[in-house]
Amino acid sequence: MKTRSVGPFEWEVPVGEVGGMRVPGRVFADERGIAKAREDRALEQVANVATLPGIVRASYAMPDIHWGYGFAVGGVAATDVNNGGVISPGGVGFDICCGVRLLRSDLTLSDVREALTDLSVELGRRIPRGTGGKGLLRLDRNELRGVLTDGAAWVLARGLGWESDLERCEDHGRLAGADPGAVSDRAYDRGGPQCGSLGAGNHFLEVQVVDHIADAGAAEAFELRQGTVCVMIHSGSRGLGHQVCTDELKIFDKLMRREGIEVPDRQLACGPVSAPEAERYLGAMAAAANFARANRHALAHGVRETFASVLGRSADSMGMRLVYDVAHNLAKIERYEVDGRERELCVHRKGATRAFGPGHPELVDRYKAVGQPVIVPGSMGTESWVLAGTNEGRDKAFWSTCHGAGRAMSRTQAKKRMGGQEVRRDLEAQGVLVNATHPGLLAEEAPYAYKDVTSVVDTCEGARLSKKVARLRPLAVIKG
Amino acid sequence: MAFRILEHTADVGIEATAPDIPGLFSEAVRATAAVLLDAEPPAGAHDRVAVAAEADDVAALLAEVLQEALWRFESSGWLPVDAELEVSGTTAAGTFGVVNDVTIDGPVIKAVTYHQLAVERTADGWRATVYFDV
Repeated sequence: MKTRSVGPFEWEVPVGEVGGMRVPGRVFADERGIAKAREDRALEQVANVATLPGIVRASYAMPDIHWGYGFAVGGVAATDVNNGGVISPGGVGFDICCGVRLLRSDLTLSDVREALTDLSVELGRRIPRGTGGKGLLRLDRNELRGVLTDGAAWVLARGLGWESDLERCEDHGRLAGADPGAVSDRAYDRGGPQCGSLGAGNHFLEVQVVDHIADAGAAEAFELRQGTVCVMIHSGSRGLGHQVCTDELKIFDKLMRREGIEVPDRQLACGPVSAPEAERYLGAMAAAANFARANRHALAHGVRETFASVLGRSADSMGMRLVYDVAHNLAKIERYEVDGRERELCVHRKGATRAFGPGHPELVDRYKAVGQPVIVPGSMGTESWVLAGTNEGRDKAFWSTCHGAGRAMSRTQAKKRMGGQEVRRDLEAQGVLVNATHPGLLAEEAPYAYKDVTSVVDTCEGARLSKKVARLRPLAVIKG
Repeated sequence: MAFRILEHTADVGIEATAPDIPGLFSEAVRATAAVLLDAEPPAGAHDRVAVAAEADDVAALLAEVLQEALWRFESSGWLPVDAELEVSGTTAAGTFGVVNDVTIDGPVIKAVTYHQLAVERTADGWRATVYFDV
């Protein structure tokens, strides 16, 4: 796959590299990142996405790009809704609205040092995790419909969480247009028991400490102070979201044939945003997104309760406020100027985070001067980052940036290098407590299986997609 | 009949081969169990549960059968490790052989994808390729 450098940290995959490309591919990467993307099949996937009907400007890839299914992970594609633009459920992914929520606190390292083992054990005991699983909320079908319609707001109305949580959440915790009637019975069956559960795989909960401030003004707006403790939650829409995508993939596979659309990979099944099937999908997707927001909201409530119980203080007195909750698998209808005309676009972000720049009207006043917080989890045991959106990001890639470190190694390769217990010992030797139900998983998710998150966020900053605000170092990791 | 696990940067795939389509579907179910167990699934006689699936073509039908196998495991704790199916055009009906009390040492499978999904004829019979989201 040919690439040519088109600017600092920007590479183009020219039209023609894959038959039917309508726009070029545009990859944000440093030299090492682009070399890595060439090694696996990620660049081919960037080119494949460029064939989607109605795609505008380019098929983008963020610096944490790697081979996914259909879309590359780190992929961003916008289609022109009123000019034949399509939506692709595979471009959102199975874990609809998978994302990250960050709680900050006034606690310092010395406040928690002695209690850290108890916190790790108690978080592991209280926060449901692993495969299947029963969540913190037990919902009947009517209650689940409420969650699908109102997201985190429904959970808040039940008395869990704080009023201020919603304004510090993408879409205020509720994606509009949800249609619980578009969600299948099996999705209800899978999701019903799971609201307020972490899941398995790369999902985690981490107690962290702010160990470096890169932008003092933005850090102050985000209430992140050097040496204070944070909690990061990475989870998604659990079985409910997986089932919505599974159901919709089949529907779009048929729709695509009916519309005479051809794509290089069947997982890119898509149809015009104007089709009734697309309207139904957007309703089901928003419902699953609201489930994910409610899930992370409930998990955060569980975290606050656990801290209060272990440390013998109220969560309020510890200042455990939400910094932000971001999605990194979602499609949204957004407005941008393209070729001199404002257009309504369907922006797919698959393993990419929306990153509004300063002044954006959807941002809460507190963040308006500095831009939207972007939460970037590192690999297990390595640092994570908080970034802020930039206004250059709008024209660069529809206000999008990275979502994590990005895998560099297959699970089999990772397991060959070290066993789960060795990984645990290694992390504990570095001062990171590990509480995992599944030792094999530790090997699959070992830090060396991922790219260096700092080089990923440096590339985002170099490409002016986002800027660095604060670095968070892990103290305790809770895995499914 | 045979299967192998396919490497993928983030996810995991399977390739199954068999002389005929029913055998191919059974081997793909076995491969899926192997991914979850991170080990060869137990062989021999198993309890059997009914399964039926329908799709527009044989590759999508295989994806549907594997989704049913995963749902069976998620909803009941019984893991399908083989299949005895009659496959007719775009429908499959028969039974899964299931085991319980299994330890999941492999990655958790979220879903069956259509990425590079294929059921193809070979010189010796049939080959299937399926990738999972994990």
